[in-house]
Amino acid sequence: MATLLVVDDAAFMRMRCSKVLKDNGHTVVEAENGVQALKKYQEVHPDGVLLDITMPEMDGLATLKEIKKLDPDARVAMVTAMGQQALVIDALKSGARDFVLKPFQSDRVLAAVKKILA
Amino acid sequence: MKPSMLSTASLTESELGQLRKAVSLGFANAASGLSLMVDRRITVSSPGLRIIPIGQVPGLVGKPDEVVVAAYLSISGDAAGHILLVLSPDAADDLVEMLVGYRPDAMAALDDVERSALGEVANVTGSFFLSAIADATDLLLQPSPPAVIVDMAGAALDVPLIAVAMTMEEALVIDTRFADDDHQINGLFLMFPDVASLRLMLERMNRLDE
Repeated sequence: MATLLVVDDAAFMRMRCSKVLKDNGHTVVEAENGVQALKKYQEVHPDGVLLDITMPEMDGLATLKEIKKLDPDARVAMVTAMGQQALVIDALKSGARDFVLKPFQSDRVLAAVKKILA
Repeated sequence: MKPSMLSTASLTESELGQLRKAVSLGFANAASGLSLMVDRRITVSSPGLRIIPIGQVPGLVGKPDEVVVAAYLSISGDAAGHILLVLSPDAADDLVEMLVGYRPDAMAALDDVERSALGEVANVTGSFFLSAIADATDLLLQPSPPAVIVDMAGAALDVPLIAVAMTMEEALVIDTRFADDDHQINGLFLMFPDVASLRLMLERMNRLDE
């Protein structure tokens, strides 16, 4: 089982995502914005990151790029809303390994985690 | 009436029918989305849809000093406007319970999870509704992240009403019902497109429907 960093400014979405992961045996660390995510990444060195794209201040794409500067091997899946295809493509080009479309099914989150950790 | 304003009378039955179709499709997709989020079947339906003068909107949601819970999204892209999901405190309590599994201690002091859950309901419902309109019109319509307000009805409605009052006489009012096995929750889904945007949407709907 892995340690995963869940980054989302929406507390409800963090809660849902964390529950799915914890119920499946993973350890979860949460961050509610990009700045906090970078701090937690350095503290915890998680095995993988689930990173929301739309966040105030530092958005998911900017956070992804900063995480990649800290750790070029970081394993990240983006969490995205409808209509953000262009941002998803940018994120994949910037090193994200997968993406999950909100609203998400538990199985889709677990599949993304499996893919980024493979 | 000012010449630039749109009136209900100028909407044809066909245009109203197109709007009803977009609502029906959008809400069906929103129900699927919400069900995915909580791993349980939730339905979203619309018992009624109407266009009313903007001046009647405050009376529709309660007395000005009655507390309401409102989740607000703005629309940007090829059209502009505002969307508001308005709930009574009891309905908001029920909706939080439906999504999170417990009732809030006090509506006036919603915690982050409870506030965010209500925001996500508006976000999912509004996004799928806009997506249905976008598909029917070939327009790009983007919702903003949701903001949740707990305030007196008068104050909660100020922002969207002030923003549209100069160009719009009417609002699209969609009676909305969220339900699962244990709850039937009624709310009001209000859409205030600016006049140019509503004209553009209806024009595109008509053109693509021909």
